[in-house]
Amino acid sequence: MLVTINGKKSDVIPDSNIQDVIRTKNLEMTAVIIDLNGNIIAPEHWSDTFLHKDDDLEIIQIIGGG
Amino acid sequence: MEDKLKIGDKELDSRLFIGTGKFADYSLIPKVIESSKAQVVTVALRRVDFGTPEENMLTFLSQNIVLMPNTSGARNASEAIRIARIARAAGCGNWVKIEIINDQKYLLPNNFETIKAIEVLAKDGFIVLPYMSPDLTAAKMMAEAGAAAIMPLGAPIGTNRGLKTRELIQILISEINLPIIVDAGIGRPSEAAEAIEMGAAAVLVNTAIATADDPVLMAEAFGQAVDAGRKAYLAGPGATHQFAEASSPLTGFLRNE
Repeated sequence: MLVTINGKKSDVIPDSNIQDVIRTKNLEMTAVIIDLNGNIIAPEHWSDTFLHKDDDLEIIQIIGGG
Repeated sequence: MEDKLKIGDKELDSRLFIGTGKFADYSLIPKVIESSKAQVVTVALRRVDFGTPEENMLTFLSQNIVLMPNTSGARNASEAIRIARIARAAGCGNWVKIEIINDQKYLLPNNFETIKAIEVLAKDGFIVLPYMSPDLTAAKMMAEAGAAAIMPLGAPIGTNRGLKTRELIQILISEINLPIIVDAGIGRPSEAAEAIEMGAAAVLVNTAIATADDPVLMAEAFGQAVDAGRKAYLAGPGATHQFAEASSPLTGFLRNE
């Protein structure tokens, strides 16, 4: 199933939730912000928010900046 | 002596804001904050790079620090507004440094788009601190749009060249009834002291500390310079003169006529 992750088309297993995507990409320690189709998803809802075809997922982190 | 810097809902003791970019190692940042006594730090938001994800900056920052996420990467008001809202939703609080840049050579900010972003974000409950090119008309419009402070550049970002825009910043200090915070360009503690001495409310320093041989020691030096500058401002420097004015009495000299 194709979705967009951080601006790139990505193939994810159907019925994946956000927690699955984060685990697959080994981002447990880094990902802090999830924006799904323009809405922020709080961490407590990562495991019950399922991806659908053509969803636009942004996985964002807070880094050093001036 | 009670001398707090009031911005939005906060009263700050430190007039040194610190940027967290360019540090060789995030573990330096808590030490830099401690040695400088800074209370406000900037952070940035980026898409995770799946090849080389960075550590989560927030784990290096204590709870009592005021976070000021910047909107770096934004090319217009709507991109800046989106970044600000994501940062707030992610728990970064309601302070935001608006940074909208179209010019990649000098990284000079777009004052026009910045004014538009301030209008929207201030109405939406943000404490908005715009990075700007020092221009009086733009600063007045930013104040009217709801900015909590005005942050003119001293020199282009990352150049360590000091207060190249000194005269223009002086005009903002005298004409704008908001804290003026010199952001960008300050390369040495003496320049930070100079900015505060002339009435700037604070300075935001990143590159000068992060790229010093010893960032923790340099951060301490900046903290002390800002304190010294503030004390000098409050003390009121004496007048300057064209010609010498003797410090010792001009009578009773031990010499023959």
